[in-house]
Amino acid sequence: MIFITVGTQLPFDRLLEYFADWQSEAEYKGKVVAQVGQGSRFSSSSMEIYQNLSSDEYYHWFRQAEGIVSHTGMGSILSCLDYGKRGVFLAREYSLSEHRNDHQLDTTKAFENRYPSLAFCTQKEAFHAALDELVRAKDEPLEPAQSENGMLGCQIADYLGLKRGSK
Amino acid sequence: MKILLVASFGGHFIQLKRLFEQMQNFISENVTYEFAVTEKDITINGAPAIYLPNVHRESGLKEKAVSFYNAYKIFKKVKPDVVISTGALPGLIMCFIAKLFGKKVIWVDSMANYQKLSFSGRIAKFFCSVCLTQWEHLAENDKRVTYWGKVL
Repeated sequence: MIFITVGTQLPFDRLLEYFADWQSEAEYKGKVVAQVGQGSRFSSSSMEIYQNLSSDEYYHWFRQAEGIVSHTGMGSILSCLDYGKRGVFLAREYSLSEHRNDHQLDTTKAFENRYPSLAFCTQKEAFHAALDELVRAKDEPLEPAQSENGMLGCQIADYLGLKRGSK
Repeated sequence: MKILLVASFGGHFIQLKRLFEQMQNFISENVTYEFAVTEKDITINGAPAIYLPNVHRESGLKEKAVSFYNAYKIFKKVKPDVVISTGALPGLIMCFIAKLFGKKVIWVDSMANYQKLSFSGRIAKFFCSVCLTQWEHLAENDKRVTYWGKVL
């Protein structure tokens, strides 16, 4: 099953249309569940579509998915790392009225090539190639994401004068 | 010490929870945490978060005014010594209220912002006690912005 999510704020029908094109071209027969956002006009008979999902419903699908397809939002990126999922991301663009600014293109620059399991795309062709790879690699084990050492939390705690202690 | 952690639901909130996890080693009897988030019925480790109504840059003046009042009500109820926010605008407003009352305020700009600080971050840096970016290069040429690490 592939789980598509466009985040909590705005619809992102371009991603869904690109995905639907791939789905028919690649003849992908697996189940697809899509969270499409309030105000989306996208429809498809080959996907299970929800406008919005509660946090519990979201992670219900997220956990089951063999791959995640998402807008380039930090929530989806971090959730892929947390749950050990492969992800294909497409950046929202300001010029297409998909967001308030182009920070998702920034996020793409920040994260591209950082994790082998996550593909960051801005073009339809690359997005389709990444989906092909997602399906091809779905049974290959994922290396656990390298976690940094929690320095940010330590520094903030130090700044606040908190003492290290147990709960 | 009471610490109020504030974020919009979605990526901002996921980053806030990660920051909270990084601070777990520093939880002792004299530190308590409260969460405020722009989504109803959220719990963190079994404890309910306070609901903070959402507001955007495009929201009307009236909505923005109401959001200051909402933040003020929560601030008065929680009485935090410190406010930490990972964004976005509702978190910035809470930081501003806390600053008005002389509290310590920490802004943590979202990892999404790699080329420049967020809109809220560019305001936060002028009044927050500490304004943090999660990308080293964004702190290099700005004395008001600091890099202490990431929520990764």
